[in-house]
Amino acid sequence: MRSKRAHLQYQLFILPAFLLFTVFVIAPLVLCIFYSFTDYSVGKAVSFVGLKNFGAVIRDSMVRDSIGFTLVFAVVTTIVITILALVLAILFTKPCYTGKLQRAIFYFPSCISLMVAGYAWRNLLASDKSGLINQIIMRFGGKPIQWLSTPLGAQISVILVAIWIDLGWCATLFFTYIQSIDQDLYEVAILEGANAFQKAWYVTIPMIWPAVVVNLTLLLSQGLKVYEIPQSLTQGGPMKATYTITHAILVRGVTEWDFGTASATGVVIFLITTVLCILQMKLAEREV
Amino acid sequence: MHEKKSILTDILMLAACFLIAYPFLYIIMGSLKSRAEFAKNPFGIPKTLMFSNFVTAFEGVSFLRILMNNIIIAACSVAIVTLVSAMAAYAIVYHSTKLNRTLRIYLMLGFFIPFQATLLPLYQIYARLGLMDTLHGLILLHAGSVSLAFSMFYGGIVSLPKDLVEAGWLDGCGVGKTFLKIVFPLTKPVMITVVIFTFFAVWNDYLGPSLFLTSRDKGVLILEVTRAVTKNVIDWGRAFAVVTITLILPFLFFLFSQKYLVKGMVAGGVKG
Amino acid sequence: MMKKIARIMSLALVLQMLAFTAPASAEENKELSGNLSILAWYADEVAQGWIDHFNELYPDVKVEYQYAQAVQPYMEKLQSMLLSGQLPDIVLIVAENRVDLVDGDMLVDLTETPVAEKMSDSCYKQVLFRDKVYAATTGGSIGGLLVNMDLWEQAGLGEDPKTWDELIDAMKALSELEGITAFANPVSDAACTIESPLFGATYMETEPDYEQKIAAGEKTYADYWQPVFEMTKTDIYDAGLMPQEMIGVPWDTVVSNFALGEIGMIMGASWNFADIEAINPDLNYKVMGIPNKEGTAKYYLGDCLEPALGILKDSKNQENAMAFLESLYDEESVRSSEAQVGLIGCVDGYESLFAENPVCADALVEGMQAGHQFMPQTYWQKDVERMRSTYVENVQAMVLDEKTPEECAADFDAIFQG
Repeated sequence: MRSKRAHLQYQLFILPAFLLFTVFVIAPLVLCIFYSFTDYSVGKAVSFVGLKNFGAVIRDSMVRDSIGFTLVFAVVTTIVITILALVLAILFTKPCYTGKLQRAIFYFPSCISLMVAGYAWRNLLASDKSGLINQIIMRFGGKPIQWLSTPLGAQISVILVAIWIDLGWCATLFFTYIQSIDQDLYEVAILEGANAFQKAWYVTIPMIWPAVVVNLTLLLSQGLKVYEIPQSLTQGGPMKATYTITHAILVRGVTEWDFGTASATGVVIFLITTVLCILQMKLAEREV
Repeated sequence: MHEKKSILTDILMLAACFLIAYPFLYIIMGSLKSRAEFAKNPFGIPKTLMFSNFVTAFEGVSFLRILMNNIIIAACSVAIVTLVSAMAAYAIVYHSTKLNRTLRIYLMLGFFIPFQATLLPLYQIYARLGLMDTLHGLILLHAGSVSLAFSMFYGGIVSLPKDLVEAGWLDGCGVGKTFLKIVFPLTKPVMITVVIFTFFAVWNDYLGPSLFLTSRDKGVLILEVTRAVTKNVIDWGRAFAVVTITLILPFLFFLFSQKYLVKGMVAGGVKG
Repeated sequence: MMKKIARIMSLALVLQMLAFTAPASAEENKELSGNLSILAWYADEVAQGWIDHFNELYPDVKVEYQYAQAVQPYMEKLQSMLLSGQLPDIVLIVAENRVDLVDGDMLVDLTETPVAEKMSDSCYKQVLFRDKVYAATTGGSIGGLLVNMDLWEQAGLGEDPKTWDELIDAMKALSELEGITAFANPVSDAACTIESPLFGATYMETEPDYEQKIAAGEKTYADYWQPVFEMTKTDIYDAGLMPQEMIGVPWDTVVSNFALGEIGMIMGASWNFADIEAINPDLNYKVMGIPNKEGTAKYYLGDCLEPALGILKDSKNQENAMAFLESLYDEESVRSSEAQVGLIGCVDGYESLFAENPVCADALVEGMQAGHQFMPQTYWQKDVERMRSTYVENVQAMVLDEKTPEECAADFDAIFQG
């Protein structure tokens, strides 16, 4: 069928991507796994220590807490953003005059740097009356909320900023799919006496389910990488409540010059990420 | 459904839009305020416009240089990622050997591998290869993240009619020509989506440049922003001036991309 | 009052400009050329002042200034540069990296060089580490409680508090004023929390060798820190004199609010002066020290440890680096950083701009020149970064009432032994 020459050419086409990916993604990962079993540090020689680093990682409360927060953040933002984006997408379907402008404005937050988002929201969410959000709350007679000064408040603030950033593009994605749904299905639903909510539940959502699945994967893997938002919003505080896995690796590995532990942490996240993604894909498959 | 256009919806939605857009207004207004005004009136409209923040924003370094760095890194990364992912997807779709099916899964592993796990060994690899503090070093780093682009191209190409390629072969086109003249142009919607996603990811990336670009004149715009946020005294006017400038190009890019974005998402997103 | 300072500063700048046209001194007969790279966390304008003066003397040396934010991003950048073999010639030698750098034998010993000779006594005393000089410092900062004197008068207060209890009473009086927050403690920077000078006032006159006692096992960190934490927790945080929300307000906003007269006292130092001047030149405020319980000592913030630049042993431009460090002691360099960010010069024969500044004149004499400044990092011998971040975290915890002083103090020992 295909000539040997064509075969070679096809393989060559794959080569650049393969090389780049291997050198810059797989190789470091392999090295990371290797180092996680050593006590490598600046100025020291490399020596094997078996599972000691993993033991240290499990015992290290800072690392454990940061893994916990990162997981919570990733799962919560994925679910909340998806639900809100679906609602928003359905709202977008209501005919009005400035639809394109609205979608553009909602989309734009995803186009800025995450550090910048954190810096901007830092002053908006200040815990006392200096913060804009609190000023608005006080205008309506409420008491200022301690957004950034309590551990829980700070964690919620980080999640809120993430929602602000990602809501728009998810909603735009869903909206596009909704546009391509066959209108006849809605006609049938109306004939059967479905109200707005039932229309959404029984027609809209199942029809765009593939898009929702892709979205869940993207949000989840992105959520696990979170670093810039808590870094610029609260520097990981208060009391390290908003420390994420990246913080943990940077602090242990770079600031404290402890490569071995940092690599072990990296391996742990890799395993967690893999498990989560596979789980999520299995779950999504079953729904359909 | 032929519902009437509802102005009420416009009003409500635009109010929501204002809430979403406010942080941007805050930044742009902030870049025009003096330190004193920022302290007294952080959230409102500036009473006097201070354009000098834009002038001082890039003291000590050539603004054009930094902007060019950003553009070069973004443009090259986008070009490389798009091209190599499309090529790989093309080859795997039309030459489905056992090896290639395995490679497909291999190239998608990137979804599972978080950057944090790889960043420390990357220092050493970079030092070994002499890539530290170079623009091309950072470009290659971004170019390595092929997984998302690859999966989108795969989805897009797999849904093309099979006889297209057969027609190409009959016409005497080899592997390369078929790609260039027939398949690649047909992936336009997906291609544009990949370009857009990659562009924003690279333009705004902070960790990569902060860890791998050390000299100031190799830096990018986001690093200039963090320079203005020093330990004890923060000059928000200067910081926001840099941010405003950083926003201009993506904003233009974003306006341009609105049209193509949605088409691409449909074509590539589902089947991947 | 503020206008007088402005006039002094502009005079200083004019003098600086005149100095540029003055004939060069005899030292730069040597022709130096090549490169020089510096990694520090000073704002670009400040570094540029030093570099400009250095290039006046040695125009053929190309200087590159690399910046990273203090403190953690700086450590990350330094480490990445070390790991990849791309060394800067000059780096900051601060408490957080000093131990590792000296243990790894990575620094040039400056003890017998002209750089050490040019230092004033207070600088020399503070920069000495394991009996050697590794960093060049020309001065530092002075700070403590920045007190709004108008509000002080309004609250019916008179003289500076002489004992800790008098200070607490003053805070209480300030908190009674309508709409005024009494006190704000920066809880994200270990160098500036009120606990540090309080510790100094409590122990440094009577037991300056406390670190040695801990190392010898005679005492623990908890023995020293617990009473200090108990004082601040009970008297300030539990009493509500510093509202919990303050943790969630970015510190630059707090400084702004202080400048606008909404806060009675904040912890601050000379690095805030220019900022406050920009926001509200009419603010009537001054620096006060923190007294201990008995009233026998008063300590201030800051140190005589800036810029604390040292040379890496593996540097290929050591001659240039040494010349640069020497040039830091010249009047032009000292004055440039003093005028720009309040980095107070403490060099023999140098008249500081701040000696006439009513905001800190007393503090300069009582604090800096008398050696009554304390920062715990300067004295910790190992795991400095972990100690520092735990310290910061624990102060936050105490404000939020999540941990007891006993637990916080014990954490230091856990790290020291761990």
